[in-house]
Amino acid sequence: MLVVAEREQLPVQQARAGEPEAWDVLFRRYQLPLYVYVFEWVHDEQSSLDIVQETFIGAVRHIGTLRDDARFGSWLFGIAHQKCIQLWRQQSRENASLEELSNTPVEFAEDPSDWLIREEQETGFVQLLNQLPLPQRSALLLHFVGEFSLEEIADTTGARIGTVKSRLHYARKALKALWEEKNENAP
Amino acid sequence: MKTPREILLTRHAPANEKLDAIRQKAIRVAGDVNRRTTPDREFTFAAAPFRALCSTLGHQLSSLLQPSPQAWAALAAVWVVILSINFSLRDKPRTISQESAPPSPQAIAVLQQQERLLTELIGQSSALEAGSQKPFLPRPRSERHAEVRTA
Repeated sequence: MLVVAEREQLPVQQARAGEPEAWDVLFRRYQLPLYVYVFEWVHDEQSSLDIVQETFIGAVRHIGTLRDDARFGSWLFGIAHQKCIQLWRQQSRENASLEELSNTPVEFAEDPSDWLIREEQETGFVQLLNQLPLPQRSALLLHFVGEFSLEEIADTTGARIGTVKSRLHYARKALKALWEEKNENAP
Repeated sequence: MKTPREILLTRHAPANEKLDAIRQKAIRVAGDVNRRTTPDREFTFAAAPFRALCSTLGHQLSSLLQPSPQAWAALAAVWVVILSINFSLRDKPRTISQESAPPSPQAIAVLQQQERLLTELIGQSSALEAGSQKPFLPRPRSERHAEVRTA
């Protein structure tokens, strides 16, 4: 069972009504996690800030397309995710394909808070995270940073729940393997 | 000890200042959008549900079509074939009538004879009509007085 943080009440309905104060609360809540997610995709500060800005403005203009107020977070990350893919395609920085991994549903029993990392290992952890293939990294970042459920990650990335489970499973496995390898090689 | 979330958020915390500026800009856009749409609400209160309905329909349609685009493409191709067959069959009777053989000389002769008979009959009937007496029609009184005076 995937453990996610309990959701706070967000003024999505007021934002729909066009109240700037409500938008301020929503953007304040998501600005840093969204930026982290985008940055870990594109690895460029300016592009990440541009994408966050476009995402916010897109959200303001297209709030009418949000069907479930409780899913505001994953909907917002979904807009950013699409923009990241667009940029990634334009730049073609990586040759790694976005091919679907095995759709075999794997039980993913993981709480983000279970991953406790010592201060001296923080940089190493981020480096290892960046070594993961893009779809796995994306799923793991949404899990870590966005604290989204499997359904929400599936919504955000446009993948099936089984695929998300699989990606998270392989990402975790790969990350652990890299972690152990790194620790073994450490003096 | 920190969680991955804490590590990532702490690493990128310096970006918060720039993100605040971006947030302010987006809120200004929200204010503009709100100002632009508010007067319309009084007149087009029915537009919002309509737009919501359209977006729902669009979403449903895309979720219906997305899983198997190849199957839908094949179905569309089948429909194109059916329509083309339908059109080609509809055109056939016209071409048959256009391409029918010209009438034979015998048929033309028979037709001409019938035509002649018809004109003869019409001629006779008109002659008969001319020969028959006209029925008595009373003339105006003024004319009758003039006839009496001249007599």
